[in-house]
Amino acid sequence: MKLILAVVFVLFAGLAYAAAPEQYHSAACDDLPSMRQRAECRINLDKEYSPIPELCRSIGGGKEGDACVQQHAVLSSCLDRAKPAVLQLECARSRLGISIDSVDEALVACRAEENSAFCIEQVKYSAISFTQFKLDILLSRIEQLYRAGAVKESVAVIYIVQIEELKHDFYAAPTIGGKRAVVQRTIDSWNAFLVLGGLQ
Amino acid sequence: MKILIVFLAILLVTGGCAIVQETEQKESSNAMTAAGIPIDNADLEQSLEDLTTLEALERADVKDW
Repeated sequence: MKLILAVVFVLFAGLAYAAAPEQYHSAACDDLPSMRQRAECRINLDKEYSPIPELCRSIGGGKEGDACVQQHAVLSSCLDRAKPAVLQLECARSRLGISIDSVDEALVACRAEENSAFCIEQVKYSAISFTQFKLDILLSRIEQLYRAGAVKESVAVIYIVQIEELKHDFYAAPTIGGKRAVVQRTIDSWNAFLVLGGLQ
Repeated sequence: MKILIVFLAILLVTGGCAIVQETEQKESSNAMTAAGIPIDNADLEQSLEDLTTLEALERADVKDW
């Protein structure tokens, strides 16, 4: 009798786990205490899911946190793995309403606008959001490269954490010059990742 | 005459090398792994350029702009 009960219990537990593996895993990853542990957990998930973005997590609640989650929601579908990189960027461009190739050209167009100060602010916002999205593309590439067996887990995790930290630094930099410096650091970090991962 | 031929040959080889180098650079900027995953830096150089322009604008007196 005890054996039957034990078998039934194991069967039910197994069924319950199989019915909701995604929720189980995603909750488990999001609840881990360090960013490194969360990154390690997420890249080994079988299914894709939408975790709380690390940047929004570090910002916390309030208006800023809500705006972060909202912006992530608008652009996250552009990161679809099936999309080639060019289309990912095109998708983000159209979501952000960027129609002109470079900021230089966009600012020239602002001169013709009646409310040029507002136009400049829009150009600034789009350029910053678009750059932030490019960091998301790099994060998704590291995951893809790991899943394709092109880089080791240890290397992938180190650089996921590093780019997440750079994303936060980019967000927190109070001046455009500060943000530009973070972009330069990101380029350097990406080059180091390619070398360490044996991809270049 | 011989000098002219040698000069033209050098010009041809140099030009050819420059074209090959440019093609290689273009290919490497769109480099992909065997699995077809791109490994370029998602056009961050353009962002760097854009932010440099915005930084210059921020430093300048916007009224004068």
